[in-house]
Amino acid sequence: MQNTLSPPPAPPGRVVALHGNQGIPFYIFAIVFSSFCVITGLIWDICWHMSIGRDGLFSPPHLIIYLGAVVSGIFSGYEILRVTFWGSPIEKSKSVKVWGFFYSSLGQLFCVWGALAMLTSAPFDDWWHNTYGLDITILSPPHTILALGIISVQFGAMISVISLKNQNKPFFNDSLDKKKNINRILFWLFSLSAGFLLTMWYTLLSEEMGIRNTHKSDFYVVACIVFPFYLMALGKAVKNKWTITAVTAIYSLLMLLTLWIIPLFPAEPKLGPIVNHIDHYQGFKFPILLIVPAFLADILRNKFAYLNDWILSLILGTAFLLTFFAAQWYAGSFLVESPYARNWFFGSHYWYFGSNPNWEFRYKFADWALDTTSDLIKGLGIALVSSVISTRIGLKWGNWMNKIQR
Amino acid sequence: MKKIFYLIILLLISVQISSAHVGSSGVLLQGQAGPYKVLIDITPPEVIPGTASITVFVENGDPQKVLARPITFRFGSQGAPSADEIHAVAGQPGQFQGVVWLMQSGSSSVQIEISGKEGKGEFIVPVVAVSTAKGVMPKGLGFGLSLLGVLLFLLMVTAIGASVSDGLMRPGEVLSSRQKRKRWMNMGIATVVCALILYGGSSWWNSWAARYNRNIYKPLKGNSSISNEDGQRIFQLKIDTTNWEEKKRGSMLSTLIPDHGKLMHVFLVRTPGLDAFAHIHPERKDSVTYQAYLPNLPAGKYLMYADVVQYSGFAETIVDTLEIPDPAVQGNEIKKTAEEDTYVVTDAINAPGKIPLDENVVICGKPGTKTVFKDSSYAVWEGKPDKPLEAGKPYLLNFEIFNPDGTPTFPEPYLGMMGHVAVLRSDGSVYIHLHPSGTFAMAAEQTLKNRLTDTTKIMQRPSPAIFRDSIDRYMAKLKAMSTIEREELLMTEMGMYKQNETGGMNAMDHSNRISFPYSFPKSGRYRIFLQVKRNGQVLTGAFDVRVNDIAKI
Repeated sequence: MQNTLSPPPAPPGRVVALHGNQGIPFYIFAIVFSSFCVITGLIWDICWHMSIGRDGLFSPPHLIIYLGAVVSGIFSGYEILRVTFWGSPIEKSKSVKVWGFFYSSLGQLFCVWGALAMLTSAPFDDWWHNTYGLDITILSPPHTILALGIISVQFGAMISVISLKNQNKPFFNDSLDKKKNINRILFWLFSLSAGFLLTMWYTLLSEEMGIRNTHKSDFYVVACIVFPFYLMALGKAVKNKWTITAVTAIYSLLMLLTLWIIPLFPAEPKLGPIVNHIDHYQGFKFPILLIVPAFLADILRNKFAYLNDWILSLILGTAFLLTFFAAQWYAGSFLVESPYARNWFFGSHYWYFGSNPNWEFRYKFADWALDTTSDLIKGLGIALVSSVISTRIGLKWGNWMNKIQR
Repeated sequence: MKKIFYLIILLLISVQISSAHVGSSGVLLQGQAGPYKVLIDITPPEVIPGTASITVFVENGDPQKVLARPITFRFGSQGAPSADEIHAVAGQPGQFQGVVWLMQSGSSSVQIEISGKEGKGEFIVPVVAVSTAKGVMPKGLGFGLSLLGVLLFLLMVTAIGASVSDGLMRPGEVLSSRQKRKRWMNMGIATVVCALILYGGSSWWNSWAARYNRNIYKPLKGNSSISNEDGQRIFQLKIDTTNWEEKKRGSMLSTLIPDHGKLMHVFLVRTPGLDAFAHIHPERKDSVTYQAYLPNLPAGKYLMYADVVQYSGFAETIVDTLEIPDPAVQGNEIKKTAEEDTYVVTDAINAPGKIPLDENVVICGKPGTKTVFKDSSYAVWEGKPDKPLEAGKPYLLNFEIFNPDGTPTFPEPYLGMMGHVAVLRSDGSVYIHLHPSGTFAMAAEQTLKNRLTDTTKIMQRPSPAIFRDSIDRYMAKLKAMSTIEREELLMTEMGMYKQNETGGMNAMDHSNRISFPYSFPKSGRYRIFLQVKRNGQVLTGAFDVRVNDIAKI
């Protein structure tokens, strides 16, 4: 341990990095693509379990997830080995040194970690199923390792794009048009990778944030803990006018496209008991309206950019809760109760095959899904505090991401 | 009330859908599926939810397609998924293999449909689905996963260290000593945080394992004992209901149903020689207490196996050992609880040929030899003596029964069956109460057909008090009948008087041959007690066989 983790040897003097025309390396596209694969595979897998129920190690959605792991692992691993053994001094000077030997970028390191974690989860999950049964829950210990791997792959993709963007700021000596163009592509690559990661983050926590829960303060407490830190960090990390809006737009779009496309395909439940007989895939979920607080957050953070992060947290955190609560409360009512939501667009009629389709609360809020006014106010108070703290952490984290160079 | 009684009668017909056992979880059945004669071998998974593996041997005709579909008692046909194809095994004509997913614990079944040139045939095979496996990670896997775990741990700590140090530096910049310190500090923090996460993960795993262990199938427990009353030895079994609320056993003892006319079948076998055997039928005294007069068994230490069946067809065996003392008064006339209660004494499994002195003695036989019953009639077990059988291979244990003069004899129905077999491994670790092919299958078919046509989406638990009362009345009615009446009623209920297209009795083949399908679960020495009825008398014969592990080629 002492040996492997020792600091890098003294460098041969100061290396001045001379950058030529820096384009976007191919592996960046590859790892953003793998980030897309893992999250779409996962959403498909959830729809598979809602509609068909049973699967094997090599079911199509699993293959898509593995494809993501493989692409990310191979491209990042290859880049690490390439730079370590055949890299130019300039490339090496742009890398972090791992265990005194390997040269890697931070993003590649997280991608490799994620791919390795996903690889580890497979035999573990297999053993788990043989030992404790073929569970159909989202979160079990081996599934959590898989999820951490997926998050790490996606995080790696995101910070790879961020570091490239940060490097381009001072070191770009080509025409301004070209710089603008590359920056635009990088911004969209960033929005995609951050949007995919946001979708993953939401999917993991979706069981805590069902639409039937939108009239309870718990929903907002959870949302105010898990979202502001991520969204506000992005606003700091990438100083574009519409960073947060773009990322939430990608999230919403991915959720909508999967909601609209997957149910076009036939599917039949293959696990008993089947209470709800269906012949097509059931869609996942209509996105929650993160885009509303995101839009406002972008306006506010641009307007109040001169304020220090503590005051900014107060403003952004409060605004997040208020706008999100206002939007999601009514969206929740609409999705649960309105007959106009029971169509392909909103998909609130999709129903797990093992649940009773005639359940009395299928289209209305049950008593236990409602708070008393005092509980609601108390809950929202907790949500407000959570939101401000989460925002503050996010701003700090965002400052770090903005500084990533390698 | 009438409706409930009807329901109960309906349920009674379903009695034989599973066979109780110890250490022998596989289900092997032989029977007629439409035009096809089939042998079906099902190995249920050790963990529920899991997959059961199925092998179907079609013995005649030209089957083209075999479908299998899991149906649980609770949710019936409407709640069952569509069938999956069981594929033909290459190079093995008539043999099909596949898997079926069993998702819920409890009484379940597999519906098998065979289609081919001769037409369609259907068969229903009962499966008791319970988790029994205790998971231990294989060493190799554990080592590999630990190695990956350590690698992931180190890599994560490294990545976090790099994130706050050289990751933030412009190309070519070098870490100052202050930044190096910062990196070490952050790596230290990361180590602690990752260790905490790992600790949390392991606690989560432990709680998961603990929950699984709580839900793992735990056999019913009971305490058997012998008491004396007017010089008669009385066998008593008290079912242990400690912590039943926790185990969600609830009122299950009130919803037991009779299995071919008896609420409980008890087998007593003297250990270690397996040289004394009794098959008795204790009666319910209260919901946890069962009692019967003990036959004239010699004193000794006995293994006790008591079979009971739930209304859903879920069969269980209570295992205990008990010390049986000599009778307090010798020479008394021994009373019987049920006229079918019987016992036999034979030579010990480890000392063949040494016959004890008893009025009820038979000499233990082997495959291929003549085994004489106490009334001088005899049975021959088809096979070759001294040729061991193989573990895990499906067999038909065929017995032919002959009169003392060598002419074939047709056994009389005994508890609605042509014969009963109890299979025991020398150490008692395997026990099963088997019934002949055909009868068993037809009754099961009848049951699940009832459940299949039943439109109840979810079977609710019956009211325990009413259920128990109805069963008690039914048992009293059975007991008051004459033997012939009773046997006729039992066989009718089990669907054995159903006529087939040719007008003959399906299961009542007039033959002196009785077959029991069985697959020995592991190697060892086994003793088989065969029980048939002739001239109104239950005869018990014993046979020994050695079972080896499948020979490796």
